[in-house]
Amino acid sequence: MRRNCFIWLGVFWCLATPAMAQSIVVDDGNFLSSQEEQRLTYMLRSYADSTSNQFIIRTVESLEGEDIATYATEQGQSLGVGQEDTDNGLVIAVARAEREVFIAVGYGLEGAIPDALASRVIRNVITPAFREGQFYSGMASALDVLMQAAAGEYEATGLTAQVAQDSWTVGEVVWFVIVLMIVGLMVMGFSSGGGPGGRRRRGSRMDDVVPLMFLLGHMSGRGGGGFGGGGGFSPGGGFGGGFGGGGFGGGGAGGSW
Amino acid sequence: MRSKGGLIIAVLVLLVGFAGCAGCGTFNSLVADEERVDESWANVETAYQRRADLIPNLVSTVQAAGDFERETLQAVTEARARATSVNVSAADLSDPSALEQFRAAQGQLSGALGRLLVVSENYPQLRATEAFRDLQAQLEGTENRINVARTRYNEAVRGYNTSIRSFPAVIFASIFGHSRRPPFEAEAGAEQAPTVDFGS
Repeated sequence: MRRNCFIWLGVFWCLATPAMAQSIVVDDGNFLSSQEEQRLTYMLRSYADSTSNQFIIRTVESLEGEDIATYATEQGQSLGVGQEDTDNGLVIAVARAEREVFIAVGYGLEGAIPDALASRVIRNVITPAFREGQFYSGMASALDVLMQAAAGEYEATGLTAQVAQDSWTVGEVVWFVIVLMIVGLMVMGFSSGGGPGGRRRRGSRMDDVVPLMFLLGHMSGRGGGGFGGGGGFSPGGGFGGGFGGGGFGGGGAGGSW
Repeated sequence: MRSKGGLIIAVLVLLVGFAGCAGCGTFNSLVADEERVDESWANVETAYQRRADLIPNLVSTVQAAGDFERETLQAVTEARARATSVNVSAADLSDPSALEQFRAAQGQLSGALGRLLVVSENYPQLRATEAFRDLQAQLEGTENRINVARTRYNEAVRGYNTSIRSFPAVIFASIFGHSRRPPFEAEAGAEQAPTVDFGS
C-alpha cells in the first residue's frame, strides 16, 4: 500500500509541476496590485484554455541598457511562449525606468496581429492610459483588442492543433504495442514466478505496470506532453502544460509613454 | 596462442567500429551545424527581403501625401534596387567579401530609409496619417526582425566555427573542406531602428 502511495504521488507531482513552474504575469516593475495581477492572470489563462494562444506579461524596473524589442522577443523565444507547432504566443513587456512598452508577437500570430495593429494598440490604447498612470486598464484593454484579433483567426487552429496532438501517429502506436507486449511478458514472467528463486508477489500487478506506463509516457512525449497530449490535463492546450515552445522572430511593435 | 591472436583482432575490430561510430556521429553533427548556419542565413535574407517588399508601399504612400522631396525618394528606390540585386547564396557564406557586399548594399538602403524618415518630419500632414504611421511601424518591425535573424545567424556561425575546430571534428572538417564562416556584423548604427534627428 505504501508503495502505491509513492507511485501516485510521483505521478501527480510530475503532472502538476509544469503548470506551476511558469507564471503568466510577472510584475517585477510593480505596475499592478496583486488583485490586478490575478485578474490578468485569470483572463489570460482562460483565454489560453479556449484558444491555445498563450499571452504573457512581463514588467521590469529597468532594462539596463537592453533594447525593449530584443528583451520582449528573447523572453518569448527562450520561454517558448505559444504552442510548438503553431507559434501562437505573445509577450507584452513594460519597463518603468525607460517608460517603454513592447508587444512581441510570435511567428504564428504575425498574420492576425501584424506590426501595424500592434503599433495601433500601443499608440491608441496603451500609451494614453499609461500616461495617466492607468497601467492595469491600459494592459487589460490592449489585451481585449489583441485577444479578439488573435481569436478571430486562431480558435480553429488552436483546437485542430490540439486534436492533432492528441491523436497518435502510426509509429507511436507500433511502439506502444511493442512496449505493451514487453511489459505484459515481464508481468507474466514475474507473477508466474519463473526463474530460479521466483519473486513472491504482494501487491497487485498494477504496481509494475503503472511506473512503466508512466516512464513510457515521458519518453515518448514530444514537447513535454507525454500521452496526455500537449497540454497535460488541461483541455484545449492552454497553460496547463506550461509554455509550449513557440517561436518569436522579432514581430510586433513598441512605443513609449 | 591462437586464441590470443583472435582476442587482439576482436579488440581491434571493436575499436575501429567504435571509432567509426564516433566519427559518423561527429560528421553528422558537423553537417547539422552547417545546415543550421545555412538555414539562419535564409532567415536573414528573408528579413531583408521583407524590408525591400515594404518600400514600394512606403514610396507610394509618401508620394500620395503631396509633393515630397524627390531626391530622397529616388535615393530610397535606387538603394532598394541595388540591395535586392545583391544576394549571397549558401555556398558563398564562407566568403567574407560576398557578405561585405551584401552588408554594404543593405547598409545603403538603411541610410536612405533613415533619411526619408528624417525628411518626413517636415511633412506633419503626412506623418499624421494612419497609413504612414502603420508603415513606420512595419518598417520598425522589419528592422527588429533583421536584428533577430542576424543575431541568430551569428550564434549559429559561432557554434559551427567552434565545432569545426574541436578535436575529432577538425579531421573531418579538413577532409571535407568545412571552412570557418565569418559572422555577419551589423553596419555601424544599424542595430537601432532609424531614429529621427532634428539636428541633421
